[in-house]
Amino acid sequence: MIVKLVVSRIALAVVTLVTVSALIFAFAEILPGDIAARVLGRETTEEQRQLFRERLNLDRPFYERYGTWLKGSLQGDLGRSFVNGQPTRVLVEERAKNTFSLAAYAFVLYVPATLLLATVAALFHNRVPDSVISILTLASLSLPEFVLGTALMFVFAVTLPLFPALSFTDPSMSFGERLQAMTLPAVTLAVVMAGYAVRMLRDSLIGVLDSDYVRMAMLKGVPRRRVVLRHALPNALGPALNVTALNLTYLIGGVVIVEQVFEYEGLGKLLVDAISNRDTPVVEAIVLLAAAVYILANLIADVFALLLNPRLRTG
Amino acid sequence: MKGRKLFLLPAALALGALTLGATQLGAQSQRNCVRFASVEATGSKNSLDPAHHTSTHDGAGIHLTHNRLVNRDENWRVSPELASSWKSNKSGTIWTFQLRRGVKFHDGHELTAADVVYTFRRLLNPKTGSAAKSSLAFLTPSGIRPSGRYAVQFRTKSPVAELPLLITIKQTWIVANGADDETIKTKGAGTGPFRVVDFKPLKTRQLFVRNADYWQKGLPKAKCIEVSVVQEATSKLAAIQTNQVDVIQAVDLNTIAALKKNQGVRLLVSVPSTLVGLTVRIDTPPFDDNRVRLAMKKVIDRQKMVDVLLLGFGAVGDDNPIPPTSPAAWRHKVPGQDIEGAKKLLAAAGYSESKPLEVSAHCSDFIPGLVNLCQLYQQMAAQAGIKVDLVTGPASEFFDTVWLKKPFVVTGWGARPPGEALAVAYRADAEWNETHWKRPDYEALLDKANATLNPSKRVAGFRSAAKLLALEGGIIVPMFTKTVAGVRSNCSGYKPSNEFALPELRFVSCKR
Repeated sequence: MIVKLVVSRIALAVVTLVTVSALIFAFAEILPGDIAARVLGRETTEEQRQLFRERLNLDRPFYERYGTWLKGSLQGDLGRSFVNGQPTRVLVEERAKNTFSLAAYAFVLYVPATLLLATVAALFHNRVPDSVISILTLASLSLPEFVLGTALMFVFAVTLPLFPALSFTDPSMSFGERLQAMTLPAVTLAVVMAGYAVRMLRDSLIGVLDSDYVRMAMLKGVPRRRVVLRHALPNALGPALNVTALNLTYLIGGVVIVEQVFEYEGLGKLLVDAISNRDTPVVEAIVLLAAAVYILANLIADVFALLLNPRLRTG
Repeated sequence: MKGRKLFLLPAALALGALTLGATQLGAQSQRNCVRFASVEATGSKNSLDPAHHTSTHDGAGIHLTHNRLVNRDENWRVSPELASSWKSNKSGTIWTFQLRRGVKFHDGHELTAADVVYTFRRLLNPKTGSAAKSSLAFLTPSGIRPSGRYAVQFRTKSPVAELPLLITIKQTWIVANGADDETIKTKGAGTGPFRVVDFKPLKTRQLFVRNADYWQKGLPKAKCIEVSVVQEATSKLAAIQTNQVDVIQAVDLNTIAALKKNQGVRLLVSVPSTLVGLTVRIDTPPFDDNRVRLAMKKVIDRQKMVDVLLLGFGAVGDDNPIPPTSPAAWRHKVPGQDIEGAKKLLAAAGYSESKPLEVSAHCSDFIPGLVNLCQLYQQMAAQAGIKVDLVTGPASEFFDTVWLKKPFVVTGWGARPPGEALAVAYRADAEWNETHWKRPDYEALLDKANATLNPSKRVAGFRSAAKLLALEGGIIVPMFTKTVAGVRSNCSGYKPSNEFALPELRFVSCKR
């Protein structure tokens, strides 16, 4: 069952990715304006722009260029950046490492924080701790990332100098230095993600805690902690898992704003630059990577749901 | 048990980051590099190739690693750099530059005429694709030749009185003879005060270290310079407040108030630099009537625009590209708002309350605040009965879909010396003739001035041309912006330049 699911999903994923790549190419084509004028800037002559187009084969028809690009990509060659002539793969690889480590850090903060807050809220259902958590999660849901990020920056970097304001990282930094530099953006991301997940988990946990088998376990004298952690929590995780899968994809695709606020050298900043420069090969690579992560995260969430709930495994 | 361990992990991580961090924050500031926060208007390009100097971030790196033949100051006076002296023949058609001896490139070889000839011929070569090719149109590859080992001659067909100034543009940094594009782009093949360390594509922070063999004694002052790009205004503010950067190249207007209160940061202001304004095409109705153009200029309260839009960090303009504060301006005092005068001109041109002048202005924030400028202009013009309809669009698309395509648009031009500023967009054959200003009498004035070796007579010629443009042209210049730099009080030697793309960092140092 699980193997079949994984195989069919992967086949579908390949089709999806090729479709996405064609769409991005088409979008880049129909957007108004001229790539040469974008890349070279305002103070250029038509002669220079023509030279640029010829060098990058931009004067050839769009389907022909897409064909060339697709053929190369399938062989692992993602082409070169229009702007600085560097191989796309090198550019994206380096930034992807940064974004993935930021995402991993945020995720490590997010998972336990969500479990803890949701469990506390459910156990103190309709009492003060629940209300406080509820207000906090609502606030995190309604605050845009850049407001939250800027607020954290001014509190924990300017007022209390605990963390650097800008998340500059470089290879010479130690693990601790890096971790410190990445803390504020990671916390921002974790808070944004946790808002929705805490509410989902709290609701399903309250439902489960109210169910007959939990009451039964309580009545036969199972310790309260064991009831919550062993019996209730795993059964309540289902909906939160789906939210987590969506959050994971948000992490890779949606860190753009957080990276911009903290000047963190990740995929998001690269994507912003690439779009403003109309650097199609780089945009393609980043969006495809985000799409692949999206598909993979959903697949993992489905597999976990199957593992957690034996009832889904029949059939 | 499993659950409890998971709960503890983030707390441990955060705590670890904090303790390590507290010690590391101190360590970072001991590195003794001057940390320079640049800006990036057009998306990071990352190249050290002077021929493709397009963005401000690249500008810092290019300036740090190269030198030009001569340097120029904010009043466009030239001073010796790699050339120790220069002179022209009587007619101004042959200019000879004597090179400084013993100057070493970063690769160790000595500067000779061959390097200079290579640099300029490379810029003129269409294959290089440099914007300098059009700015240097008065030069020909065969007219640039060595004159012995340590001198270079520029021979031109017609006299070029300001040649030393005109070859001092942002692309003319001297590169090593024969250096290929890739080397120039990523290693920097210059003689400059700093060497680049490990230049990586699209890295938003680049490290430059002092060139021990630099030819200017005692310079540069800093051991190393770290150039970064910080885009968000509030992030920039936080970075300088927390001592994470030392110099901000351009403080955004909305954060000036916050920085003014900060004791640890000084604000430095440049002379008027970037021209901002509106342009109309003088061959397109209703702008083909000079009475309409004059009325559109008279409705502006220029000082108010500077006060409201730039919080005073600017200077009024006079409808031509030379700031009234410049010694070369044709008049230093600009008349104030004249609504009655504008109404009279409009009436004479056939407009009235029942048949008002209605125009559409295309606006975009490619320089922050231009849309506000349009809105303020709209209100001022309304006082004289002109109806301005605003069409706003995204900054990223302005230059390839609006500029040079619509008759009434916002504009912005970086600071240029008078001769270049009056020619760049106002000659019949100019690539960027946004106002369609094609006047033989104007060009005759410019040509004559450009061939006049006597400086005061030459400036007189520029003044006549500027007057003609201000009173009859299609460019409306209510103001010039000034660059506001933020410098931490333990640092000295930084001066904001009116040529925004070229920050001077040789004299900067910070005490730790």
